[in-house]
Amino acid sequence: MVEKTVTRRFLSHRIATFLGDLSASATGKMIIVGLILVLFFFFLAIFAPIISPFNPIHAAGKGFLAPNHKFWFGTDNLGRDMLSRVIYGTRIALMISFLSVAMASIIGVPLGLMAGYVGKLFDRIMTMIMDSIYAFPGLILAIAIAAMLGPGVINISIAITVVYVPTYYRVVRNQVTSLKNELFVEGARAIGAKNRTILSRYIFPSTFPSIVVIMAMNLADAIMTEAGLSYLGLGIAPPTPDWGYDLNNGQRFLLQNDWWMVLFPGLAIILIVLGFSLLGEGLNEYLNPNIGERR
Amino acid sequence: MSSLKYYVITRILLAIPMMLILLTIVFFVLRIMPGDPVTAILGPKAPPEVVKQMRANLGLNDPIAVQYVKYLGKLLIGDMGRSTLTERPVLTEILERFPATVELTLYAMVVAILIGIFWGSEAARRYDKITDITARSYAIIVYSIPVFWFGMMMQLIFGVNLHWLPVSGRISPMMEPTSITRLYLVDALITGNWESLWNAFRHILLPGTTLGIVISSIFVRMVRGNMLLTMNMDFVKAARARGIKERAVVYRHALKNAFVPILTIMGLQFALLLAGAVLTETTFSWPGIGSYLVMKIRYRDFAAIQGSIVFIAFFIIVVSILIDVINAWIDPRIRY
Amino acid sequence: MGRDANTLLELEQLRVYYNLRHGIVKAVDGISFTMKEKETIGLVGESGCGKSTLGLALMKILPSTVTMMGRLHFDGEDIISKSEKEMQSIRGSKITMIFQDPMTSLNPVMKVKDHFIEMIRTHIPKISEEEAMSMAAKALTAVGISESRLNEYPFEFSGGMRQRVMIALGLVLNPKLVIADEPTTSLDVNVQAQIIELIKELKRKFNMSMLLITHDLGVVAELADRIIVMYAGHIMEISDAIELYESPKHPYTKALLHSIPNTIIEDMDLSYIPGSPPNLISPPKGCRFAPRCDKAMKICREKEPPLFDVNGAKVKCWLYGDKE
Repeated sequence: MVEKTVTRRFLSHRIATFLGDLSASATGKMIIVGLILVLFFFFLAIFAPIISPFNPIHAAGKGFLAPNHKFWFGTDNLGRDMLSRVIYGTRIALMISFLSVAMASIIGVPLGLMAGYVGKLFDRIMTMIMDSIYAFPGLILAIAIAAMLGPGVINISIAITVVYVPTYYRVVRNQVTSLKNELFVEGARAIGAKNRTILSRYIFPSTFPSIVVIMAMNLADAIMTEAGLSYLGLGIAPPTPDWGYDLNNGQRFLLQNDWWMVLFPGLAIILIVLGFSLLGEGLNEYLNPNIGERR
Repeated sequence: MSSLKYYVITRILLAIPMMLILLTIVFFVLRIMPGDPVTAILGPKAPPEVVKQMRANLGLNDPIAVQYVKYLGKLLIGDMGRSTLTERPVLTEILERFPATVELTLYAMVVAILIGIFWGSEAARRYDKITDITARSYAIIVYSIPVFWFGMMMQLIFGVNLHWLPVSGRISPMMEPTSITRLYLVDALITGNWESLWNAFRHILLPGTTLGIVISSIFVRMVRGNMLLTMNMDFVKAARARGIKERAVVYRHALKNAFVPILTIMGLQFALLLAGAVLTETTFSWPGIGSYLVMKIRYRDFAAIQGSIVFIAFFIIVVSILIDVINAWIDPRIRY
Repeated sequence: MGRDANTLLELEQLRVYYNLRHGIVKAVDGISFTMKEKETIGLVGESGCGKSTLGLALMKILPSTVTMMGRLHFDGEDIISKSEKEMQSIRGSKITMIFQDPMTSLNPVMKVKDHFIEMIRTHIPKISEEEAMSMAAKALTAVGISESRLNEYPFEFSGGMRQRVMIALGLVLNPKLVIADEPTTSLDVNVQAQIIELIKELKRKFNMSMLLITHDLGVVAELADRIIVMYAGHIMEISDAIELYESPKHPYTKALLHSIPNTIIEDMDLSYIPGSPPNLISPPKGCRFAPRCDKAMKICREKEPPLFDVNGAKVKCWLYGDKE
C-alpha cells in the first residue's frame, strides 16, 4: 500500500515506470529511440543560435578545412563552419516537413472522409485521381511542381504536399468505407444523428490512430524528399543552410577527397529520418498490433 | 495458355484510363500551377513582347480545353514537341537516354531482389532470432539513407580513395559495343565484346549497387512480412509434415506463394526505384532520363520537362502491366 | 519396460510446453499410452485441450519455443532425441499427417502431381519421374480420383476431393502411422460420411495404424478401436471404443457424450458442459476438470487423481479409486 501512494505522488516516478514498461518490448524500444532522436533535432532547431559555434552564413575561417578542434565538422569551400550549417539545417528540414505534412493531411483527410462516406461517383473519380498520383514517383512529381513554382519554403512545401495528399486520402477513405456500415455508426444513424455529426463524432476518431502513424512516416519521407529537391538545386535559395544544398555543394569537391562536406549533412538526414521512421514504425505496431506480426 | 493471353489483353485495356488520368494530371500540374511556363523559361524580367511571342509559339493563348485536346492528340502520334534548347524532338532525345535508365534500374532491381529475397526469407525463417533482428534493423536504417549521399560515399571510398572503380558515366569513350539493344551490358555480351562488357560493368557497379541497396531495404521488409504470413499457412505445415526439407519448404513452398503479393508491392516500388534513379543518375552523371530531366529543369526547357514526365508515367504503367502478367503466370488462380 | 513385438508407439509422461513471454503453457502435461500396430486410436477432447499439439509433437513439427520432455518411442526409435534431419526422413514416409482444412493444406501454386513427385523424391531420391508418377496415380486411384487429374491445380478440386488428395498424399509411401487431425471437421455433412467410409476402406486395404484426433465423438465411434479422452493436457480416460460408448466412466466423458446430438445414449437430453477449460499456464491444483465437474469432491480440488483401472479401462477420477 505504501508503495502505491508513493507511485501516485511522484509524476516522475510514474513516467519512469511507464518508460520502464515501454522499454521492455521491442516496439517500446523503437518508440523511445525514435522519440529521443526527434527531440534531439527539435532541440537543435530551437536553440540553433545558442548551440552553433559560428554564423552559418558567413565565413568563419579558411575554406576547405578538414575537421579540427576549432571546426569540428570542418569548413566548406567558402570557409563556413559545417557544424553550424548542419545545426541550422535542422530548421529548414523540420519546417518544410511539418508544413507539408500538415497541409497534406488537412487536404487529404477531409477528402478521404467525404469520398468514403458519400461514395458513388464522387468517390470513384476521387479515388481514380488519387490512385494515379499515388502510383507516380513522388519525387519526380515534386520535381515537376518545384521546377514550375521556383525555390522557397512555401513552394517546396506545396510540391511535397501534393505528393502526400493521396496517402492520407487512401487510408482514411478505405477505413471510412469499412466503418460506415459498422454497428456503432448504424446506431448513431438510427437515433437520428446528422451526417456531419456521424463523421466528426463517430468515424473520424476511429481513423485517428492510422493518421498519426502515417504522419510520423510521412515526416521521414518529406525530409528525404526535401533533401532530394535541394540536392537537385530545386530547394531553398542559398545561402540559407540546408542539408540537401550542402550535399550538392560538397559533391563538387568530392574528387579532391573533401569528405567532411558531404559526410555530416548526410548523417544528419539519416538520423532525423531514422528518428521519425522508428517513431512511426513503433507507433504502428503499438496502435495496430496485429499488422505484420504473427501470433 | 489462351486464358493468359486473354488476361494480358484485358489488363492492357484497363491501363488506358489510368494513363489518361496521369497525362491529364501532368498537363494540369504544369499548366495550372501559379508558375507560368513562359516566365519559367524566360525568367520574370523578360520584355513583354518576347513573352507574348513565346506564348503564341507554345499555343498558350488557346483556351485550356483546346490546349489539352491538342496535347493529347500530339501525344497519340508520339509528338512531344521540340526541346527549346536543342530544337530536337523531345521524344528522340528521351529515347536516346532511355536505355541507360533501363539498364540502371534493371541492375538495381536485381540487386534489390536478391538482397530482399535472401534476407527477407532468412529473417522469416529465423523469426525473432538474431538474423531477423539484423534484417529488420538493416531495413529501417538503410531506408533512412538518402540515395545520393550513399552514392557519394561509395564514390569517395571506391573511386577517390581506393581507385577501384570509375565514379561517373556509363562506359569509357570509344568503348561502346555494337548497338543492338542499346543496353551496353547485353550488347557486349551478345557480341562477345569482353573488354566492353568489363568496362560497362565497372561503370554500373557503383550507381547500380547504390540504388539497389537503398531499394533493398523495402524489399527485405516486404519479403519478410509476406513470408511470415505464408509460413503460418496450413500448406507449409502440411509440407513439413510430408518430410520436405526445410530449405525447400521456405524457398519452394512459402516463397513461391509469397511471391504474388511481393511482386505486386515491388511493382508499386518501381515508382520509388525510378525516383531513386533520378537522384542516382545525377550523382553519377549517368546519362539516363533522370539526369536528362534534371538538366532540362536547370535550362528551363519546358517541352523536355513535360515530355520526360509523360514518358516516365508511360514507363511506369507498362511496368505495372508487366508485373501483373508475371503474377498471372505464377499464380494460375489469377488468370481464371 | 519391455516392448511387445507389435508395439508401434509408446508414450510415457510426455510433456510439451510452450515457452511464451507471459508464462509456460503446459499444452501436453504428462501423457502415457501405447499403440499397437494396425490399431486405430481416437484422441478426443475440446479444442485447446492439447490434442493437436500432441499430434504435432509425434512428428516434432512444433515452433522453436516448444520444449518436449518424457519418453516418446515410435517403432522402437526415440523421437525426442532425433535431429531435425532425421525427423525429415521419418515425416511423410513412416508417419504422415492429414490436416483439418483441405482447402488450405495444398500449395495453391503447385499442381497436384508436383505435390506427389516432390514428396516421393524427397524420400526416395533415386526414383525416376515415371515411377514416381505411377506411384502417385496408384495412390490417387485408391482414394477414388481419376489419375487424369494429376495435372490439375488444387483450386480445381472441391473440398472433399482435396481431402482425398491429402489422404492419397499421406498414404503414397505406405506409412506405419497416419495422424489424422480433424480430417472431416471442415467438410459438408454428406462429404464427411464419404471420407469416413474411405478411411475405413483404406484402413482395411493398407493395414495402417491411425491416430484420429477429433472433438467429434461421432467420427471416432465409426473408426476407432480405442479412445483416449483428453482434457487440459491430461488423459481423463482410456477405454475400448464400444466400452466407452456403452458405459462412460469419467464425468467429463459422460458430459462429452451428452453434449453431442444424435448420441448413442438416446434417453438423455442434449446438454452442455458449464464453464470453460482452465488456463494452461496455471492449471488448477488437483483434478483439472474439478471446477466444472458436478460430482467434484473435496479431494478432487486438492490432489491430482492417478489413472485407475476400471474394468479394463483407465480413468483419472477419484470416483473410482482409493482416496487413501
